[in-house]
Amino acid sequence: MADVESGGDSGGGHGKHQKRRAKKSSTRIDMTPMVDLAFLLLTFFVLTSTFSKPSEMDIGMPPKTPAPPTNVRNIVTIVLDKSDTVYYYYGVMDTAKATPFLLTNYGKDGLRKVLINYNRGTGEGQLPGTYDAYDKIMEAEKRLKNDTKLKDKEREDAFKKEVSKITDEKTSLTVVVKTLEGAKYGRVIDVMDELSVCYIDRKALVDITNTEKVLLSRQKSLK
Amino acid sequence: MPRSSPSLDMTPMVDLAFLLVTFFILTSQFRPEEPVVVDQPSSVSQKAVPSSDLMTITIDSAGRYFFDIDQVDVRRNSLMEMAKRYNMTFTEEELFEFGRLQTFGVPMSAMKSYLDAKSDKRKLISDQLQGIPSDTVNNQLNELYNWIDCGRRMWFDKWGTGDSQKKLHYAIKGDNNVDYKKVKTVIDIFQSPQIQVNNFNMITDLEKGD
Repeated sequence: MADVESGGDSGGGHGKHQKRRAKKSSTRIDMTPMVDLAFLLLTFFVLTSTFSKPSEMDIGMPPKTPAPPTNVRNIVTIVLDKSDTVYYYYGVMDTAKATPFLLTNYGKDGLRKVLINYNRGTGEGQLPGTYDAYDKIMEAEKRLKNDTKLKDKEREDAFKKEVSKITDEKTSLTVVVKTLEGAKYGRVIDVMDELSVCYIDRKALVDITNTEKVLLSRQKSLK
Repeated sequence: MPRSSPSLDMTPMVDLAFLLVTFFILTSQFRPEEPVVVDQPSSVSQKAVPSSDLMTITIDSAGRYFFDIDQVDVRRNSLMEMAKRYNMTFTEEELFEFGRLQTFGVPMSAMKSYLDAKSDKRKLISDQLQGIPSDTVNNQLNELYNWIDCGRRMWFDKWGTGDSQKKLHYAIKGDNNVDYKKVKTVIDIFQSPQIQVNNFNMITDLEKGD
């Protein structure tokens, strides 16, 4: 780097030529500091610039008025607590019989498994063989993957279309997310995230009812 | 055969270096210093946050509310509208300062001193305050409600409500550890009969790994 100026005249001269030329000042300037600075700036900007942006998650809330009719047949209610446990139950809360809350945790083997099972129709409380969206979606994914004619973008769009077709039926699984006092926002997002991983489109964030609160605290105190 | 010179021509490399420097200087935007740092939850969603026409409600880990809407004139008008509602007046300088501001979280009662303060002192002021108050149930008195309402009204004044090409996005940027109740308050404001926004976004980070 140091010898940018040493190109033409200083190095190669011999004999009498050397003397005469040495007096003529060089037209070349030392570019080293400039280049140093350029690379310094370059490094700085490369290191500080980030091209990534935060992503966002769509939350479509059901309109408050009028309340949309819910499909009570195929509905899972998830209740988030302040601890790391998740309570859930299937169907409509039967106050007289006190539908028991089932327990699971966050994570792959907990909530995700539960949700996939429900989306498959094999969850706790579902009649087996009555509902199956998950396998249909998996099948569609596989079919589109094997379709080599499609471009990545087209495949993605086609897959999205398939998913919304499968999940848009009247009998589709609805998941209602409720929170107890002290539940963390991050956990709610985690659950919403799990829902999209499991291809459950029908979801809603709803206030917990008093009955559920009472029944849940009663169940907790029994343990 | 003459021995080849050990020095090499660096001109192309230098050219390229300057080209890159110029590119990075011109494309980089410094992230404005935000009055609050929020550790947002991660999700698998890959949808990017729109860079304009965005109203953001930030909720920090202490549960304080912060408000932001882009575009300088919309911001200015929002503050003027807020001033009307709270019987306050702001000078031209204060309005100018407010237009330049990013996310803020100060109650209207402290807004004047906040705007009059030097920009390096503002964070200090903001840190001592409790964010935009949103503790009253009555929406008319709720400052956060009023900000949201003013912000979207002013945006609609500028761009109109009917155009589907350009629409205002609403985003909630909450801290991972904040109580969901705090987020629920914002959602309730959005869904209140006067505003009726049912579609909004949660700003998240891209999940690392699976």
